[in-house]
Amino acid sequence: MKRIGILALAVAAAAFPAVAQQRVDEKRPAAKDGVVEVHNVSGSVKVTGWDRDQVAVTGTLGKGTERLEFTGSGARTIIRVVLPTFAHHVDGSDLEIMVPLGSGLEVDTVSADITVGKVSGEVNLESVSGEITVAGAPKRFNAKTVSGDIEITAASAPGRAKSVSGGITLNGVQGDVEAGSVSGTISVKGDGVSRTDIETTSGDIRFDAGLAKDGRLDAKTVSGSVELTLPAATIADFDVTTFSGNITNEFGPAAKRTSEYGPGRELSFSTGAGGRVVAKSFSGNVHLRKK
Amino acid sequence: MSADGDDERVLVRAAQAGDLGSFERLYRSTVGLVHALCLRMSGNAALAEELTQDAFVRAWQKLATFRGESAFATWLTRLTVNVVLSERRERKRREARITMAADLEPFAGAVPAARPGAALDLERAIASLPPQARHVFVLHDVQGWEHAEIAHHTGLAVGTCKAHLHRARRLLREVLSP
Amino acid sequence: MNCRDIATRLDDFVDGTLSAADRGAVALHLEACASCREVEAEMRTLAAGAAALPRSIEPARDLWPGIAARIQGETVTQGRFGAGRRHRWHHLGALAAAAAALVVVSSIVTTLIVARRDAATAPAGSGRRGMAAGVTSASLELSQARGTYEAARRQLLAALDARRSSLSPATLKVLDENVRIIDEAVHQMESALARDPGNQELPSLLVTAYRQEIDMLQRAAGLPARG
Repeated sequence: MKRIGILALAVAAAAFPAVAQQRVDEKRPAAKDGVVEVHNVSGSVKVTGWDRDQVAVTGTLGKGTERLEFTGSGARTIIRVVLPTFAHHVDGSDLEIMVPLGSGLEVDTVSADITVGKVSGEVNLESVSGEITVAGAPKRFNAKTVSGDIEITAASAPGRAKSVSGGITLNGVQGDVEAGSVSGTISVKGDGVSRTDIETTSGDIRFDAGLAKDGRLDAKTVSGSVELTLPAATIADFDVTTFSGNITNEFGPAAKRTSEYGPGRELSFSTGAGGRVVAKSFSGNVHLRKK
Repeated sequence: MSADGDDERVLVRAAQAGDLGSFERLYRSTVGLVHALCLRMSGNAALAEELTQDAFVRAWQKLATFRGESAFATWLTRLTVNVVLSERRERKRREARITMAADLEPFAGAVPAARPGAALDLERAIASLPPQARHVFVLHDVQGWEHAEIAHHTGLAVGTCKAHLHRARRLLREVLSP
Repeated sequence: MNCRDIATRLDDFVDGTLSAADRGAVALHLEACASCREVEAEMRTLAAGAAALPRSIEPARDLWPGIAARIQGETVTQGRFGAGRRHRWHHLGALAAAAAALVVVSSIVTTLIVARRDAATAPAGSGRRGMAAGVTSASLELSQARGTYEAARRQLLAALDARRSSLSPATLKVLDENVRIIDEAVHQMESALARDPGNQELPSLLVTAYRQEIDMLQRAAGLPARG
């Protein structure tokens, strides 16, 4: 290509909307249980585990992207969509990444959605408005968003999911789980949940799962509504308090006022020694339902 | 958000009388211009933010000397150039660095090493120029100033300015089409 | 003129500031010389590119608070937790430091919650109920938490304000709305507590709300630009 042509391109790249999008198709060897780090501002990131000691990246880099950084030593692989320093307009990049099954993941995006499957290491995912979806059986999960929704379907992982307004759905969870949101709805489903801590300010809380023997459920909200649906045969101490909300209970006893003179209702009963269910709200209603 | 001619005169007069709110509105409509200039002249994003602040603080201090002979933005631009150049003189004095070959300043901010054969983006190429060549290039080719004016602000002779421009253009051409 | 002579004159030629006599000579040479023509073309492309660069580039964050502060000769952020130390507003450096300092605050607040939660694991019905109105251990811990929370909240909100222009409008909207939700919740609970000071549950809910707000604001202070 003539020098002037290249010069014109480079100059145009800075002054005007940039060149077309580029396809990506690269591989690197990686440790079977190393960490893969991914940074992509917008677009999408899809990570899937496979049976090779290799990290492969395919997809398209959005218009205006400077390049894809793809480096690593085996124990840690880094994939980063690099944007120009003075970016005026850059399109999102869509990345599909295959990683060794035992890898740990650290993914960081702003609006790009993150989807993870078949990865068994520790999974740490952070986005602002992108949606996070995790399937499979990571050793542990940690997902944080501001407004993006989070959905985790992870057999027995302990983990934590936090959002500001995004909805959080935890399915098939068994281990020690924490979920917190200010105004997003939190929904937890599972069979033998051993410990669940759910906290919201105005978001609703929906728990529909079985407690493991000696399992513990803690649900706290200010004004969200709390619906706890548990198997009829649940053996646990129940402890529910609300300041100005209502309490309904399908397990038997009705709630009582805490004091003759002040507001507040509480409900304390036991179906046997074993688990513990605690629900507290300020003004939100609390409903205990039998499955 | 731009203040047109009359609005601008009103805002400037109010600001000259001490009204900070009016000065803030002038800030909002001109900060982009000032910042772009600081960014390109210094080639360093963090320094550009400091210089932008310095420029507006100085503008507030010198507001009384603006008599409306030109648009406010023009006056502000000249003032900004002075702030940038005198900051650099200050820093050079403090650091007393002795480098022969055109004092190449590292461009702070993640500039990855260009892969061989890849063309650099124009902004980054400008940022990688040696300081004086960069100043002259930005003022002449980006801002559209004439050599006489550039010479006046930089304290260099017109001939020297032209030499810096020539050099800047040559370096940019080389760096942009390897 | 030969190519070397042209090289020293091309800049002025392209800028249109060459003397009339020289202009003619250069033009003549260019007609016949492809390689000098190429250099001329490159120069014109470069000049056009430079002139087309955006004149205005907004800074990544709003610099006005720092400017206003210097003009008015006072500091923007208060000294940490009332220490009253004066320090110049350093942009992201100070924000990062403030955010880091508040990890400490947040963990203090969290410790109080853990303490409350542990206190609350006593079996149901064992005398946790309504104590005498007035000072309770719960309210003591709460006033401690409240002080720390309010200082942290002020600083973090100021940090968020300073970053407004580097966050996307959508994100700002979510953050503003949810700060409002928590503030409203805290306000309601504080009012309730004022009417029912012996309440054992409210302090714990309040501290939880404080913690949620601090966590959210800390996260906001650390969000990437364009986030």
